[in-house]
Amino acid sequence: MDKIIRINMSGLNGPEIKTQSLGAYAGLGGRAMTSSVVAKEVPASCHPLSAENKLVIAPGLLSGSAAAMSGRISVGCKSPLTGAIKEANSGGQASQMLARLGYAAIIVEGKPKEDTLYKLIINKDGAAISVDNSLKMLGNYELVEKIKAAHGDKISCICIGPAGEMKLCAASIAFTDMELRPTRHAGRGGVGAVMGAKAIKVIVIDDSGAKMRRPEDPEKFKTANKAFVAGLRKHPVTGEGLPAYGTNVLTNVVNEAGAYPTNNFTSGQFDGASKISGEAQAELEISRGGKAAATHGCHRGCIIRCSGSFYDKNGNFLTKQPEYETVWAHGANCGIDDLDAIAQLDRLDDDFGLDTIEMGAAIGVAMEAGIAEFGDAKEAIRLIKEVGNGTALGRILGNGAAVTGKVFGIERVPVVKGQAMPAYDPRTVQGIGVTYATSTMGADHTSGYAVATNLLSVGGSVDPLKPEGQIELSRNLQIATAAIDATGMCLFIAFAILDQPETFQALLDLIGGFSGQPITADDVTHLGKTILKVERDFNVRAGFTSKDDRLPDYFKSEKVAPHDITFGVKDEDLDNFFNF
Amino acid sequence: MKIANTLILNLPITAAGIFSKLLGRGVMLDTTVGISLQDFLRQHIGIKSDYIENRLQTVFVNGRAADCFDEQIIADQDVIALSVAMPGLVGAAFRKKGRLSVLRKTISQKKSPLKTKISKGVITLKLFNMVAQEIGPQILSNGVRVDAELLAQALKKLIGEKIISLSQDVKMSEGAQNLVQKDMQDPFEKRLKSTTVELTVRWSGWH
Ligand code: SF4
Repeated sequence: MDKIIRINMSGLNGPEIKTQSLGAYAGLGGRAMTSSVVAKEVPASCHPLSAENKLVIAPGLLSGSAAAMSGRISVGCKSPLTGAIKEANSGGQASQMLARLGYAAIIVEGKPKEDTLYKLIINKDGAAISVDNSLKMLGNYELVEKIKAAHGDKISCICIGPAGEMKLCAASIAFTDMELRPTRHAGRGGVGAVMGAKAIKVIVIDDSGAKMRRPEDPEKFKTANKAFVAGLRKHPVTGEGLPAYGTNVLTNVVNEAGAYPTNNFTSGQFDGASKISGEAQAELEISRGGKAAATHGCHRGCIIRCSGSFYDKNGNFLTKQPEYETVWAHGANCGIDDLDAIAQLDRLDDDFGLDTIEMGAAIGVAMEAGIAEFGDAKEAIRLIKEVGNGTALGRILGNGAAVTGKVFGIERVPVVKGQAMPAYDPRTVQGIGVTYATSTMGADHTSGYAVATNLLSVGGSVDPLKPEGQIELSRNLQIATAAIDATGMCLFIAFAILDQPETFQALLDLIGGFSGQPITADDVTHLGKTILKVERDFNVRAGFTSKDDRLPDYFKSEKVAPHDITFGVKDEDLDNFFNF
Repeated sequence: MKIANTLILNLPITAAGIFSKLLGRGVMLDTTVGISLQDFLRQHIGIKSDYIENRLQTVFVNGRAADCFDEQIIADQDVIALSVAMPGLVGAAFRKKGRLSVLRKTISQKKSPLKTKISKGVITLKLFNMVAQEIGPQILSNGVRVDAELLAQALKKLIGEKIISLSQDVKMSEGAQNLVQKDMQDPFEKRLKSTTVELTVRWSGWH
């Protein structure tokens, strides 16, 4: 990965493509790359849909190599949803393919003047861009079929659906999976709207003729990879729970804790939780059968395989196995306990190119406003179709929960910095409330993942016998997570490296064996801190202050059942978050 | 006079998965209360110590995360939920004695009263994910009280998938027979609703 493709959509005679060396961005990958480019090159005060904003797509540092779990990709820009910096992460095949072609980033800048839609093709000969207005307003599934007919099935696609073209703030960017289906999404923050503003409908990647990236120290790399895979396989979370039930294994447990937001965050427990749980989902998928039903990877090289395939009652492929967040957003948050309906909503989101969390939250707010009844799956499906069809109501919903709340005069709107909260009530699990409030990304559950802060020694030498405070812990987790996001590793490796020091060492050796330079825990920490600081600095320049690092007020006054608690972390404590 | 609603099922162990929803919703046990959670799990349920130590990483008592099973005293009507370790930040926060437990301190188990009288009581036990697969068969063979509607759903499935036959593999008490009419269109759900049945499963192919 020694080059960057830069596409200027404002070129005098149409888009201009340049291939550049990495320069100051050498050694960066994933989120480290996207956030560095955005922070350095995008004016923080610009309109997110303007020519000044840039869309950056970057494979992780280890992507394209034989390292297990390394195929995640980052998308960065100034977010139209939050107005802050954004990194949205996805699976799919593109990361490995781009990396093998040698590209550390695609940077799209400018904006075409005319109403034209483009197709960008990247292969071993370079990149080419052409007008293709026949793709206008196609859903992602139909679009990919069309691209497949023209370019064969050895490709992968990065694309937007109608939501992206309409520049809706909940628009996602789709990444095709191993079966060349548009099921993996960089969902959060409206990154699809930025791609829509740049008028690129699809990026077709063809890595024919490209070779697997070779490690600098093949022996060390190979040994470390073996140990890393063995560690993932032997851990109960990564070796058993996630493959068997997917992330939705969390539903029963989070519901039991009273932290499962229900009916637009009015309760922490959902009566229908067991019907939509990972256990029920796996049982249904297995009974319906079909290829890769309950256990499947989102990209080649995934060992954990937390995903699966959801077939309808007639045995036809409907969508990938909906994840925990999606099942919650379209399920409990809207009072819906029907897995088939949730899968249908997931399919529609993927096809229109929408973030499932934002859409579930927006529909929950609309239900509270009386637009539909909680629990009415048919109405929820109709509302998502309104979004895809671009009706006035659809455009309101498609701009997210915050806009929907404003339009319908609803106070209970679960967002931070304009982005909808995911599937954990911050009153019940207050530590995650700290992460929601302080994340540079807006409410985000992946910002402070359960990474091995103790092994990384993030935050200095914390006494292992003395529990850290919630603020310190959330900070340390966010630093460690930012570093993992730079590698292209899936965050689900966290458990194995949290519990098994030898697996953590294998990860460090894997990175070291690949780059040829030994890497220490301090290096990882330094990288994480640097990323967070760069992002925070961008947000400050964009006008954000510590007053934006807050949960909505109602979380402090409205108790949530069954524990009847409010969010109790003090503002002064939240203000300390960035003191590092 | 109370009519006993007992139902004994003969089942191959391969069909155990059908009870996952029922086990997730909870089964009731008449047991001794006023004892520690550790003793309840080990002595009264019969779960091995190393399984408790290593496998039961996420445990709730009345929705509160439990950390010290020795110190946690269980009381009549408690709801105990058992799970393996969970993914994600919140999953890590829920883990017993986990490094991230501070993140969920408001729902961590409070100290149990020092002295509680040992007596008879009822506990609802919920088994999730792998725990349901691994210790569910044992719990069901010990005999439990289950929600009749959920049992009916499981029975319908077992009959529908031809795993059992109602006449050969299901033995019902008079009370249960009064509720379960074979010839009804929808034999179980209407009759068994809002009541409980004592269920014992005798597994074949299991040791
Ligand atoms: S564990 Fe799940 S999210 Fe992570 S790479 Fe594998 S399939 Fe994708």
